[in-house]
Amino acid sequence: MRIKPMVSFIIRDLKLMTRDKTFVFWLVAWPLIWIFMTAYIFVPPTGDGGTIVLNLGIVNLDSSQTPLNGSSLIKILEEAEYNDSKLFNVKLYQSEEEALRALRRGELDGVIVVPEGFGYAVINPVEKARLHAYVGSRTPESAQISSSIIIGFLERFSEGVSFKMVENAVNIIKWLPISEEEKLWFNATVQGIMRPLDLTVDHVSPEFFEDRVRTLGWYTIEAIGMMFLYFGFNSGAILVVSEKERGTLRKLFSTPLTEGEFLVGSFLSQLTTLLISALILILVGVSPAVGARIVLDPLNPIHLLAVAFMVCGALMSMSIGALVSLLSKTVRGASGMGTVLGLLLSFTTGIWFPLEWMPQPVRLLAVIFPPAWSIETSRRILVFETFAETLILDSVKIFSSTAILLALALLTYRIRIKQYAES
Amino acid sequence: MGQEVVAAQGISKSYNSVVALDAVSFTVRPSEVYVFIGPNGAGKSTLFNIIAGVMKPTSGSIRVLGGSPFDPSTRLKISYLPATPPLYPWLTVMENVDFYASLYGFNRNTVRQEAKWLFEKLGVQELATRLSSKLSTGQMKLASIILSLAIEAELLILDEPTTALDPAMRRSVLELLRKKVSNRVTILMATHLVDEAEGLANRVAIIDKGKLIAEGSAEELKKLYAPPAVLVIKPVPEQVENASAVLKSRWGNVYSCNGEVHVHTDDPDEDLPKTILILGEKRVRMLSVSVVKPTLEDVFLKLTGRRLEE
Repeated sequence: MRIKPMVSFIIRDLKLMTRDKTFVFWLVAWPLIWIFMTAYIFVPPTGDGGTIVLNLGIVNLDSSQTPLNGSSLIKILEEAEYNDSKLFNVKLYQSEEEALRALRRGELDGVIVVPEGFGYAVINPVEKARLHAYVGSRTPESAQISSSIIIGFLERFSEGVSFKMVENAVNIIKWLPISEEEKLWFNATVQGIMRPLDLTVDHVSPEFFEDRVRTLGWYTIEAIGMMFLYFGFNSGAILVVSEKERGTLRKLFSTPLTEGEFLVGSFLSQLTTLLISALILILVGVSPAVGARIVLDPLNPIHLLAVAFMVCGALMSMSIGALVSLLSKTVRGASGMGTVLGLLLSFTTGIWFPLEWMPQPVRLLAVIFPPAWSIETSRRILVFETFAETLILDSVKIFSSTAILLALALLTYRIRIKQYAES
Repeated sequence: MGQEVVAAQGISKSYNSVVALDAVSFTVRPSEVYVFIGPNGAGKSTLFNIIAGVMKPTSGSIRVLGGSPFDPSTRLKISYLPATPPLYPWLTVMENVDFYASLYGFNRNTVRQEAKWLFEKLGVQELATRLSSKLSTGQMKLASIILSLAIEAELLILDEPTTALDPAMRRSVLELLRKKVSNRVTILMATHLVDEAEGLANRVAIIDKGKLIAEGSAEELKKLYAPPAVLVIKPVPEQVENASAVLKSRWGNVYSCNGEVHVHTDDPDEDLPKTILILGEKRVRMLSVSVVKPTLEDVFLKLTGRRLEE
């Protein structure tokens, strides 16, 4: 096999990369748009982009002149925070009907009605203070979220009120002729009855949400994976049929070029294009403009293995594209099928969206889809620096599936070349 | 056999039930211009694809330059120009030349030098740096010719090389081909332009419906198959069909083409006045009447009963 013809294929296609605007758009611009959208919209550098803020309508009918009345409840709601971000946008309404109309129009996520005498009821141990809440339900998900936040907040508020009342009760009994020990016992007992369970809660995010820079690293590798899939599928699918439609196939095979040189040359050229694009995406991803964390130490063999996994991902995508080429005899058909299938699979195999977000049956796709293994494994190494215990098994899986898919692709192309040259 | 550049023996090619080539045999000698003429779909391109090593025959044997065209070392000595210009649209014409030169493993500068000479010779230097996607159909054809001639080959296979070229450019290209032949290059060419075949070919093969129906020099073919003379009658345009019908009722070999009626005759001195008389009796108004020498078109008419462009 001669090197010169294969290099000429690479040079030929690099010129396409620099001259065809559509090519550049899909190869570089489109994945970059996604990386920047992620960095500035989905995972913004500052602010409350990750926290849900509810629009809450309050109908305050309480005119009690007590420390904890309707007005102080509104103040508490306005100041309530989660993860240093405001939890509620509070809007006041004069009547329950007016607030409910706004809720039905979808302007609010919930309404709380504070009845007359609320403030007096709070400090009266023999009377229960009442509050009524309405939760909006534009979608089942939004209803679930609004309900949890509003009810959760009000329960914590109720608990706070209870403690205040216990404190009052303890202040009363301190005048009774009982020992200090008995007073402490009474206090602890009542508090124990109120809060029998000492619940502690810690939030543990999925690995990719650990911190912003890693999240961006995750999404940068994802953009590369997505590009590999739709572009690799596409270029693999049109590799032979485009030569036929252009009228160059017969000229190529009338030269001393062998089928093997053509296939290896074309494959290497497509691979070079994909890897250059991947390098550009990584460089932009780790640049200050995006700020993703991707660790690539050329002296670290594990990191080099991750790069090899990415190369395998590109090769497997092109090979699957070759199989797609069996379904169409035109560039238009093959290209359309390759792109659509590539995008679809990038969304459903844990490459674009984290697998944890996928319904259980869809996760099966990632389990059986080899390019997803290579992207995921290299992402673990380059972004999270976790060298999984299954690294050897993963390597065997990735390298062997690459070899099998490449063999199938070469077989497919040989069939296609023969068909097209003969037709 | 060892001296023959191309030796085809009983070449057949079928696509399912369609026979594209039917037991075609011929030989091409060194430094010869061997031209196939035949209508579209006659099987010329299929035959060229086989000779160029792109397509395998269903049966028969083919030897090119002493070897098999399916062996890359044989193809190293062949330059093939398919009917469709084989250009990559995002490359300039010279970059296309570079690309194909590298597939041969030739020195890029040597091929470039030859290409530059060809651009100059044809007076189209500006095409060298133009993107192929920006070329007109004729310019693409010209660029493809340069692409094929720039390769130092022993056998040039040219499928309809001058289609879409203007007459002046066609003459320049034919001149270049003659120069190639004088440099000991053998040319195998397909065309449906008979004047081109007659002007350039040492030998002509007539192919129709996948069969090689005649072979020889243009003069030999005309001597064997064409009449001594052809009467060319040009009636007023609205009376062409009428004139043709009148003459067909009298003579068998009457054909209409391009507003003219051609009558194959063995004795023009006798038939010319008769023709004028008959058409005059039928009140056919004539613009001109002439007696011309037969061409390869007339040979094809005689052999197939059809014109090349039909």
